[in-house]
Amino acid sequence: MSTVVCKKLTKMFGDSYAVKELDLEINDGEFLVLVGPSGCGKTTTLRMLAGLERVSSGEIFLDGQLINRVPPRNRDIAVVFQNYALYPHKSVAGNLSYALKLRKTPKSEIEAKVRQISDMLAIGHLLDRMPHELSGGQRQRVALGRAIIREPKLFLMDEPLSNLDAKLRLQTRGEIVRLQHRLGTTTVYVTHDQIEAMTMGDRIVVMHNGVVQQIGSPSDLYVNPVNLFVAGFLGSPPMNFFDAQVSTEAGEPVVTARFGRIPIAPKTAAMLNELAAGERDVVCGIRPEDVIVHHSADDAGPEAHRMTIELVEMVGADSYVSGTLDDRLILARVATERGWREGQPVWVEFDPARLHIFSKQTESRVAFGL
Amino acid sequence: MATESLNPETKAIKQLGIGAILVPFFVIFLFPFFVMISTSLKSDQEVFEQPPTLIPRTAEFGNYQKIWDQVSLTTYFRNSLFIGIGTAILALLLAIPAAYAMARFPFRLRQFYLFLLLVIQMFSPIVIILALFRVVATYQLLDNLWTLVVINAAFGLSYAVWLLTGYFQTIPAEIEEAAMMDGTSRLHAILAITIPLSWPGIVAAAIFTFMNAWNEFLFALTFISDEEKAPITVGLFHFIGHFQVQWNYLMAASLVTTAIVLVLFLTVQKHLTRGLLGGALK
Repeated sequence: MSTVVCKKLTKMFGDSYAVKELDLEINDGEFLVLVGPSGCGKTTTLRMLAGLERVSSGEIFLDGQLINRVPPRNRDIAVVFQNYALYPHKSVAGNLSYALKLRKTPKSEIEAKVRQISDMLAIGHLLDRMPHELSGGQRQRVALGRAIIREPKLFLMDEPLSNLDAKLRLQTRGEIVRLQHRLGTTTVYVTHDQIEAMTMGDRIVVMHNGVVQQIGSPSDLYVNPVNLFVAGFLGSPPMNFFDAQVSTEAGEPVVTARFGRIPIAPKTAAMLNELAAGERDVVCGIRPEDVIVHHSADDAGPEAHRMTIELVEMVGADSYVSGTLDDRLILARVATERGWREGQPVWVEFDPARLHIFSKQTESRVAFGL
Repeated sequence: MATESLNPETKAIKQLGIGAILVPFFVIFLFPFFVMISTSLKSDQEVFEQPPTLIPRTAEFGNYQKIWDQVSLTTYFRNSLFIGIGTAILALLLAIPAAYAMARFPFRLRQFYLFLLLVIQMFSPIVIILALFRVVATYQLLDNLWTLVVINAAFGLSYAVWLLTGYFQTIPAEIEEAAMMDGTSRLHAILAITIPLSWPGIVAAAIFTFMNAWNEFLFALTFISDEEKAPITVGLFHFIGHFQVQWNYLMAASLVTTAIVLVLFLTVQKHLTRGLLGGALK
């Protein structure tokens, strides 16, 4: 049960920033996910929290106490490593109990706790095995158990699912979240997988090149990305992007892509009115589910764009159809039952309320319809 | 596989071919040992017969008894063991922390230090023996077994550091870090986790430095004149007299010396091959 506060947390390797002036408050009991492409500084941030990496500048507070100079062993923080890092020369029971032994916990208490934790993780029958005798999933559970058994103030998890196969990953994903809810321990979870981040986190921190891009709930980040990077990183399949120009006709802003005019919502128009003259080059973003696809021009509005379906990907009730509009790939989510085939001409519209407009220069979002 | 499709006949021919290539090598490598064994069992007269006999007419197993009476072999062995074990321990005490630092800490000039260690390895002892003698004599450390321990350890150090650096690098830092998160200091993590996991590498480094010290002759001959302090390599030298070489005794004593190292190697070699690391990581 703990809170973490990072103030202007910075880590430099040589002359380059691994993490730059990270400000972050993690609430008690929260499941916070750090997500970003490899090299974005998420693991470095985690290692600074753990005390395994020295802080170049800035401060870390755990429960209000400055811990910059507290050695890892005194931080009362548990880490689940990406490669599990089990003690290879100790049995499962030995791995689980090591931290308790170091704290001189009475033997009977250790035994009871090992039993309790191993039952909770369904590894009770493996206590005498050595790590090399376990499957990947079992090792992963032992690594989790080793963290849980200490009842630490904070869990740090560094891509703990990345070594599991797809099915096991899905299953363990749910288990970790349920476990965290049950224990109520504040957790920082690092992943490069945006789906993991979206499904697991109470809040998500999106990082890129050592800099925090946006912090918010999964739905907030999905609906209201602050910039092109966040918009493109979160969501699968990713958001469609195309270049456009903002001009003014009869006092009203008009957005024109190379393949035609893009209708905008009143709120978007109001925001575009305030745009500086130099920011008229924009990037439009629209998620696949906000692309409306019509079989014929009669159903579509007057400003629909004609596109030929180049690929149909059926994933169940939904299908993804894609084609190109002026060389830009446009992917749309459609209902499978409406029937789609490759080579078929269709008419596409973009939901004006869901159209994101980003400045080409700053990459920040400058207008949105909702 | 191609071999599976071969019929038994061609298989046999292939085996014969491999044998035909290997046997000459085998003979060349083992012939000196055969001569050693044969000579060690010859009588004083037969040793000097021309042409030499390959197999002794009568096996004088008594030679192996006599060598212990002729010279103080027991003392030589004791001294050699002292020097060998002392060298191995001292070299490891210095090499383990050095190799750990090389493997774990990205300090400045790290590559240069590793390179320097390799270069030092290339110096022949004979180049510095005069200078060393002056140092040792000045500090009145001649006829002192510790002198040989220190010098041998210094010479064995660079190889031991190289070997252990490579070994420590195979042990993921995360295992140590896990221990540090579990509540140990770095030093404790090294002692409780890294050292036990590096055991095969440490044993290999120990054997290597021990054998080098055990076989070392030049420094021992130069710095030791007291018979009571001489190691076995110098002791064997005593079988070579001014007027006559007692080949049969020399060979017998040499074989005993080799056998001790061989037995030592065989007893610890299972540690060398045992992979303790399996299953730590994905």
